[in-house]
Amino acid sequence: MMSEHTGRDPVPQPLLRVEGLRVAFGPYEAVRGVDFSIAPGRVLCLVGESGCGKSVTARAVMRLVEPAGRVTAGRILWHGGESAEAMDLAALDSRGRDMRALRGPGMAMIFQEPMSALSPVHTIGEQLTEPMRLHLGLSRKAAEERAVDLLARVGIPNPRARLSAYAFQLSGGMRQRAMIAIALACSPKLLIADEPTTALDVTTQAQVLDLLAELVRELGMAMLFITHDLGVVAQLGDEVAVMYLGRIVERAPVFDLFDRPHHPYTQALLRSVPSLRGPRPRRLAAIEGLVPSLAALPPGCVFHPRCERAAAGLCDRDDPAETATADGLRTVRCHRVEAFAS
Amino acid sequence: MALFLLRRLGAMVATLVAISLIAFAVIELPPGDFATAYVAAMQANGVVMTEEEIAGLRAAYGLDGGLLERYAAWIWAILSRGDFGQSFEWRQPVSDLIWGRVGMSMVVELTALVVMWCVALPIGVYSAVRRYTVGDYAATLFGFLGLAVPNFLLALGLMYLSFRLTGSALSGLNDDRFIDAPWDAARIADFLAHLWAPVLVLATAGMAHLIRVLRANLLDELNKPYVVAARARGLPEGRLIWKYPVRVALNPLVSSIGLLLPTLISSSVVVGVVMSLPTAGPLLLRALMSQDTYLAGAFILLMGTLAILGTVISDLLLALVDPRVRHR
Repeated sequence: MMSEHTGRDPVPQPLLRVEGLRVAFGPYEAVRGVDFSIAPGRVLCLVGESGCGKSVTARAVMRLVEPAGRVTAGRILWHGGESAEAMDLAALDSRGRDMRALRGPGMAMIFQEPMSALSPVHTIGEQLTEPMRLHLGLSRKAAEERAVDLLARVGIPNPRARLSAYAFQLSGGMRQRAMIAIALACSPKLLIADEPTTALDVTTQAQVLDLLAELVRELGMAMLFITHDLGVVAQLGDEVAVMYLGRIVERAPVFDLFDRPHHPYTQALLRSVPSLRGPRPRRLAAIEGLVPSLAALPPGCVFHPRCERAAAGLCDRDDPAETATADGLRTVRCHRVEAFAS
Repeated sequence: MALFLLRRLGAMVATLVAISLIAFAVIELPPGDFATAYVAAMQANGVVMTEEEIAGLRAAYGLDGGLLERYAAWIWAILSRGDFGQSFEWRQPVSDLIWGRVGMSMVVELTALVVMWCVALPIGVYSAVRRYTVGDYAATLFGFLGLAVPNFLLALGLMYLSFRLTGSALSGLNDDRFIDAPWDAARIADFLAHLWAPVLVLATAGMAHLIRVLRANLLDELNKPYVVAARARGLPEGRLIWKYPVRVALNPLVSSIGLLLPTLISSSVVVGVVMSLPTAGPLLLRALMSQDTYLAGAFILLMGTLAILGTVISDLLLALVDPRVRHR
């Protein structure tokens, strides 16, 4: 069905493979069976509306949803360790030594709001040197030297002076750069970025995205990038996974997905992005209806009440399984995919 | 920072003047003065004083001058010589009376304060971090009990128990044999042996309050993004809790320590009376009841001064612990 070449090298061994991940908060399942994998040096973008479970998925990978939430099923296979065998993070104690040892040198996270994700009463230097002293066993002096280099690397002017600055003394863009430096402190193999540019103004957004793209290229780390901004996906991603109500409905290499979206939800999402080229539509396309509540999920395919191609007797009855294209590059979760994707 | 300090000190002096005026006015408010009270007391004992004797008394204590005149004389003596006047009732200079008492109050209350913090801090943190566990419920129950039971009742209960069990009534801060004795090792040992009871009573109520406030503050902080971010850096849970959210949750409490200064004298009045402690509280109460003008005035002035000092100390502490205040 799909024949075009993605223009990429063959996908290397994954660094992280998530299988059937489920996360529940009390009686509500925010993530309802998610599969994806990320290879070293690659960027996977997780897109979707607010509340679709993309942030929860990202946090679950680092086992940061506990104790409010709980990973109820699935495996989080980490291939970044010394041994050839993968480590299942879902089976680890979320507060235990093994999981803690991974946070920092294995994977690190950049948060949405740098202001609230940085301590209001500790200096940037303190928060930046902390993981290095903890995981790499550096002395305060050595850690500070490395911290200065890192701050310079992420484009913070006068880095040595910034070590003693507090979060509220920096501008939004500088704060997010400092946050990126903290995430990079122990040279993680996987960087998880949870909407890192949402709180920034447009120019700063572009700068921070450029910086992230540069860092991924330069350091060869993998990145899981959470966003609701399809423009960002096009700029940064190698692969995209589109989430809807706790599930990945479509996953594909970035340009394939933009060129030929298969899932009706993906198609609708792409239509709702205003375009600067072509004739100007009278109204911006929107997806009809509201996202159902997690407490009252519709039967069958959860998207069917809003789907223009939903077939009665099928979509409102059976939950569609995930199907992969012949080359295995794309997966779609839709009954009707054969009917319209061509 | 220097400018801030200077401004605060200026405001402090102005407020002090106002407080001294009010203190003096309050002393003068009740009808009559010490002389009339004294004469009445003597008459009750069957001693009749002549007009001349009464006039002599009034002249001796300067009771016939104008209001401002009396105020000026009072305040000048304090500022120039540290002389707070004469206690009518005790026939002693006020300054001889109060400093020993105030010192004793400070020792008792500060010890109670330290005990209170040392116990309340870990309990409060525990009860927030392990919310809705048995330990939290126990701390909460203790908290409500401590808040609801009046101090004096606790003191009475403790004294009753001690009397039933050991035969000693747990009163005072020293055995009678040490009255007017020098502060040698034996007296200090005896003092420490007496100290625990009032400290326990005074610490309990404050502790209960502190645990509740700390728990509430910490619960607000525990789920903040900066805590999750610190967890994402791989910090061990215990270290993380104490370093980040507890540190932030303590800010408002640390800054309120200064406000406790004036209560060092006034808070233990009832407990002081019940346990017959030689602290400032009971003396203040007595001075107010017997219209002992200069003694009461000295106390009110002292408490006002401590209150203002406490506010300034609070501001400085807050600036010290919270960079957001310091760098503004």
